Amino acid sequence: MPMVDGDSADPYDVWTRILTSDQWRKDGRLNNGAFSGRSFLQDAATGRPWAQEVSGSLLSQIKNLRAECETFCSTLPGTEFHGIMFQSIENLRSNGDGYPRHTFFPTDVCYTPIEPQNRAHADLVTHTKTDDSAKEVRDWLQDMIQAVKPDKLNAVWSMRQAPNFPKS
Amino acid sequence: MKASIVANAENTAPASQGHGFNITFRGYPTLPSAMTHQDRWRVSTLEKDVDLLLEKQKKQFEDISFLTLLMSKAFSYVSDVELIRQHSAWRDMFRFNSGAVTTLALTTARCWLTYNLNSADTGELGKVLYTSLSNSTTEHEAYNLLLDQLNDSQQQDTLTSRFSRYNKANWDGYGAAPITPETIRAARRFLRMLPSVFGEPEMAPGSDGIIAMEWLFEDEHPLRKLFIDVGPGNVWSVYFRRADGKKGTMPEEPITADTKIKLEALFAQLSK
Repeated sequence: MPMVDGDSADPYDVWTRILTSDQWRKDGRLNNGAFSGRSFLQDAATGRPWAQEVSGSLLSQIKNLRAECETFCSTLPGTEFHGIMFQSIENLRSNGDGYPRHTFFPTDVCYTPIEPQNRAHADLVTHTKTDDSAKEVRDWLQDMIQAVKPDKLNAVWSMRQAPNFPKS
Repeated sequence: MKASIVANAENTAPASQGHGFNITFRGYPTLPSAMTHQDRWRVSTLEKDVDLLLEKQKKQFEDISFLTLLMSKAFSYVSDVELIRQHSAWRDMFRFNSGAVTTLALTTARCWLTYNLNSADTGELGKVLYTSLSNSTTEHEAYNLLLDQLNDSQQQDTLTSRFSRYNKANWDGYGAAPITPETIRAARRFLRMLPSVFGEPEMAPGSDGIIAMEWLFEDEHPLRKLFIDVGPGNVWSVYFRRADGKKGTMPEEPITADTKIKLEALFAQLSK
């Protein structure tokens, strides 16, 4: 049964987001600044049953990962392609049990297609918002999110070959 | 009068860093090593057209106002500092007595030369010197401020080259706020006040127009993470998580002279 707007994503799918600035640490991880700001963690759109959302895409819905990344960056003057952040939905879905793996508040990834230009769109969502939650999310995502530079995009694309990966 | 100072000779480096360099006037083969009092170059001959050059490895540094001071002070050509006030366009710089200015200028000359031997950037020098003098009430304070600013000038290259490219709206394509020059200046000032106990922070742009500084720790360290945001503007805030999972925050507040004390207390607390 195909996903519809607002559905929780398949646990074996992968959430991705394009890195458009150099936020890499020297050790190859991402600086917490990559997860900061109101344009990253936004208040939920009206009518959504969650508190905050981070815009991204589902790997299962992407037709050509590199082409879509490059198109995204080329349409915005001055934006550079610095890689992609990603993680399986299974690992981003949290019941709020706390560290090390979970946040202190529930999280999920929900399919939120933007027709017609971005049918792969999906939001990483949180169900609680507090004064400190933005920084807690940064802390949590820095531990949870993986990332690759542009020359390693194939590593993410190859995750589609996993046995349980959902069919698009 | 049009005069020049050239280190050793044109296109050659001073023999030593900061001290004991030789100077020749343009048009003069050498500077007399022991000038009599009456031979000393009088400040009254200095006008705005004074053109002084210091050259090192074919790089030319020019800063008329500073070099006027440098030459007149470092080589005791000035018998009366008041003449500088009269003949320079920046008399408001001097809020010291003559002796203080002389001492400061001598120290400044050494400091400046040492700095220039390590850096090709002298463009901000006049501004730096002016700020050091005008923002200080004692000679000692002016000297320390000057040193800070010279260090900042080196640091400025790193911060500016790294973050000035984000001084535009939507630099990330997701709606980011610009990282303004004010924020970069604040980060520069903030970095100067950071205790060294945790080492240099890793820095990255943040989409709220911040510069995100962070330290990550492992193993036996009592802390796991320390995030400090600088900006937007002249403010900073803190988030940390200890090894036992306990978290803490400090709300946003302005970067002031007291920030250094607060940082020292914070870093001491987080080290336990």
